[in-house]
Amino acid sequence: MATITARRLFLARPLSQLRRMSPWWLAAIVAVSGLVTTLAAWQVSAGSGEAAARARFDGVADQITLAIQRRMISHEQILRGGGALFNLNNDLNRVQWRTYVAGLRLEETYPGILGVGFTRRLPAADLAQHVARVRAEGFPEYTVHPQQPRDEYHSIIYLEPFWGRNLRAFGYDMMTEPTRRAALERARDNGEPAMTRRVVLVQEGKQDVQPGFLLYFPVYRAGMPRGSVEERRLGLLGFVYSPFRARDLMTGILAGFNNDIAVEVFDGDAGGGDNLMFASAAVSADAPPRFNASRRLEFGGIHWTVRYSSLPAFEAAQPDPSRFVLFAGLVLTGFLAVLVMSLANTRNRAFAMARDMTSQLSESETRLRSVLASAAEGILTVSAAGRVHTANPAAERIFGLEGRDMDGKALDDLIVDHDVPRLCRIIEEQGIGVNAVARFEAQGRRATGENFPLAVSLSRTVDDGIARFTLMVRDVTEAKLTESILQLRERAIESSSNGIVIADMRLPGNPVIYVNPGFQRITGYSADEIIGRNCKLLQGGDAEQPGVKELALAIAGRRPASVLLRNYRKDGSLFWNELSVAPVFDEAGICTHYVGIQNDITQRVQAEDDLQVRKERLDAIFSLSPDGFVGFGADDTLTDVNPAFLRMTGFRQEELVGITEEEFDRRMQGLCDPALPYPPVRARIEDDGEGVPPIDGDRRSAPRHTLTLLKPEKRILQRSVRRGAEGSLEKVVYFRDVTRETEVDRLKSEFLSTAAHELRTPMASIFGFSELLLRRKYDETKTRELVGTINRQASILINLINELLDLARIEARAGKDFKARRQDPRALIENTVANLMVQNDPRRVLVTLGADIPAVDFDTEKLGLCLTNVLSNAYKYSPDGGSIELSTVTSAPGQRKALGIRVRDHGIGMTGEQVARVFERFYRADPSGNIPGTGLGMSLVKEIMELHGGDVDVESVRGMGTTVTLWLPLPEDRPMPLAA
Amino acid sequence: MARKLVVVDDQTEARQLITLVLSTEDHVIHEVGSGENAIDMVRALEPDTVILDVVMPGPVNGLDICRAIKSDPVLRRTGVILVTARGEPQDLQAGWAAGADAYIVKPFGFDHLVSTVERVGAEGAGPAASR
Repeated sequence: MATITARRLFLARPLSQLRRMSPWWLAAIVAVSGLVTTLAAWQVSAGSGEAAARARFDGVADQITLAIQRRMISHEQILRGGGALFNLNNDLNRVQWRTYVAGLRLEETYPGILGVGFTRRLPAADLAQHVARVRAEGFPEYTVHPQQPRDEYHSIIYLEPFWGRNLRAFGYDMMTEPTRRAALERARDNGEPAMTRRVVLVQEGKQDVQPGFLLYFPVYRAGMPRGSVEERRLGLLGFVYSPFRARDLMTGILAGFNNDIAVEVFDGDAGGGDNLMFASAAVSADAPPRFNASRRLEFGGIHWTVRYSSLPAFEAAQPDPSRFVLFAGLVLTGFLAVLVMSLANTRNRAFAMARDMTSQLSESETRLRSVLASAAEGILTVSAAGRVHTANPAAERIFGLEGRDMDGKALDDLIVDHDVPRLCRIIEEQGIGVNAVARFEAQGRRATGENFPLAVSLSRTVDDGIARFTLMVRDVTEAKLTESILQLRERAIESSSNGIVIADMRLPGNPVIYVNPGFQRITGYSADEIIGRNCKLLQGGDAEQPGVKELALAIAGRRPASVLLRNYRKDGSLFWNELSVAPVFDEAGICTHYVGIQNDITQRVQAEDDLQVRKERLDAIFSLSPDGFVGFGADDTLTDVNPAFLRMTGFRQEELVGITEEEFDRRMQGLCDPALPYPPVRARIEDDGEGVPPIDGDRRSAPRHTLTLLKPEKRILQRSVRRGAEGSLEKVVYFRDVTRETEVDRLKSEFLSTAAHELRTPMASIFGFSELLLRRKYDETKTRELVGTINRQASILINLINELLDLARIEARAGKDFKARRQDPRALIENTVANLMVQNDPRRVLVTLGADIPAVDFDTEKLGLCLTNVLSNAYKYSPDGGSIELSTVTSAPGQRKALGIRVRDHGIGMTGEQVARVFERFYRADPSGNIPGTGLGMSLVKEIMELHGGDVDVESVRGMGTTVTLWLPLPEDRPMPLAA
Repeated sequence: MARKLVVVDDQTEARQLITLVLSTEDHVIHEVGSGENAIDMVRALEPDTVILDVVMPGPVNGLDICRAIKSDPVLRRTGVILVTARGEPQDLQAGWAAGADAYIVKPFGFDHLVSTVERVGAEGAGPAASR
């Protein structure tokens, strides 16, 4: 049967040949073969009844076989379409896949197919990342199962429609199951569709379990060679596949046939129940079928056996087989042709998409080529074998290969350690697909062997099915250098202790866009708190500052400025901000930013203020001090001299300022007592053994020296020198006028020795005479005389002691026990005169009182003491007689109004020198002892009169007598009431 | 041993006391009441010992007299005893400087005066007593 043979031949043709045929041709072939078969069957069936029935049976078997075959071809086409999509985009996403599968309208068109899926190959190293990525898509439960570790995983990542029992397959690694694995490896190695043997699908539940099988189509990585088995194994991306439930599939296929023939499908040869995939109806063993037929189906690398058995229904119904055959055959043929055409169209649609994309790529590449020559960046295309295909001039320049042909150069000679697999890994790692760009940095190698940093943009193109890599390379040596300098500057700014702030002048309100840590440290504001706000924030409410106005003017004029501002930290505390600002201009000369550098000089300002205050205080001390200061500068000349020093020395400031230390010493020496050594200021401290060590113990202070000045008047000055810092010539010379202290000291010591002398003199008599009396025998008269002497000397001693005590009391108490009372002095004068006891002197005081003596304020007891002293002196110092006169007088006109009590004698008188010393303590005009006295009387008188606000006048002429007047101020003229 | 003494003091009581203290010996004592007359008296009397008060009124005090005696070739072996109420160290210093043979501070003890006069008299009798 030639036709059968032909049909068989046709059926056995490799499906791959069909693939390339146009749908019209396919449809035509199907139609023609269908017609031939139909006509042949019709002819045969027109023969005898038995032969006709047989023919009809065979025809139905053939038709069913063909239907199965067609259906499988359709499914293969669906897989090839899916594979084509993956070839175009290795990273086809779930939505794209869903779109493709949905477009096939599987549910309506292909009952029995469970879905169309994609299982992806995953190297073990990529598993975790892959799982994470899928989970991130919204499948937190996703995992590749089963989970035992292996080198390579395959995971069903897409399976549309993605619902129901298909979800069970999500993440399933079909390689782990031997039956599936065999088909998968076949598909992978051959690059052709492959079908599994009978399996139970993972989609199956517990009920209604059917035999199933799967159909695989391998997908390889774009651009990878796939000429040999090894290359295909290497380049495998995954598989597009469909799972099938055999009964559902067959039921669908058989729906168009009368069910009067039992159909059994066996995986492999017909046999027992083990490999039975499908049975349409049970064949009764009691009634063997009249007709039997087997057909072998080869598909996807395996074969099925379909066994047909006639059923009683078939055998009973044979009315006009030939007519039926003709009709059914024609209908079926037409139907098949249309079906084939539609399937082929499906496939063609996928290819059309691919062609569109490819043509777009070609256009894109053409455009790229047009810019290659002029591009500033190096552009290389590299073949899948890792050889340079094209290179533009910039690339030649970068690699130091100007004018030389780069074609054929190995990629890893140009880019260290980068070959094609590495590029593939980079692309995969960066997770990008065709026409997208991966970026990486690497070491380039120039023709000279020198390495340099290289920035590479990598993309993979598939042009007419040939994969190429395009690399855009840039020599980043300078950029790296610039980058490192920028990083350095960035670090410098970050680590600056000054605050650095940048404001954007193009935005309203000129907000701060950057502050460094220094700013945050100084102000207490964090970057978050200040960025976006204006720097005026730091002014608090304190805008009325000269610095603020100056700053505003400078910014308005887009000028730089340096100002000192009172600013406030976040906690409100004040700080002095020494702020420098400078504008930043763009190419067009528009001010885009202002940069400010702030320096917290609070401490400095505080220190300056403190210094100023101290300086003012020191200046005041310098000017007002009663002590003299002379300052020498570092250049050894006199720089400062204060008023006190000028008063002490009589120098004028202008004649001193600017002179050297040596000249200063010379002038000072000129004032000093030439009889005493002059210790120069210049003397080195360690050489100076003469002076008193400095009081403060400071090494910088020189010993103290005492200078005795004779000019401009006698003065004793104590001098100290304090030097400046170690090695400096600066020094301050300090003078203290100790004239008065020295004089007081001298007086005190003189007083003591004089007092001792005055006390010893009567004591010597008392001691001596009493010793005589004790040790010698004298007669009554002599004894009395000696005792009288002792008594007289003792009374002198008593007076002396009393007067000393009076004086000390008055001086010490400074008049505190002074009891002044306004009264008429006459009674006092008369009482004093009357009580005056002068031994061995018969003279009486001649008292002449004025008629109108005014009342005055006096202390009776003390004024009485004064008057007694004065009268007693008048007696004592006129031993040769002469009257003693007491009178009252009033002050001369023009002088202060006062009452004078005047005592006059005509005795020995005093010289001018003696008068001048009359108020000195212990001074005696006649120290012979013939005139008894202590030398304290007049001192006491003077003290007391001064306490009264009055005075004492002494006039005397040697040999002629002395006149003493005690002056008491009149009350209305008393300057101050005494503090009694 | 009987000596010839001159006592110079402006205070009568002081002269009297010294005279009385020394009167038990067989001394011949001359009293002088002022510094001005003292040198003349000493030259005239050429005593063995002169007892001088230091502080005396008038232009000539005891130290002046002492120096005059000690610088006089004839009188310089005359013993000089200064008797004074001034007992400060600088006063003693001044006394020695003037060439005095002894210095007695008032008040003095009876025996102290007697023994000093004895000692100075003995030295004065020796050869070239000079201080």
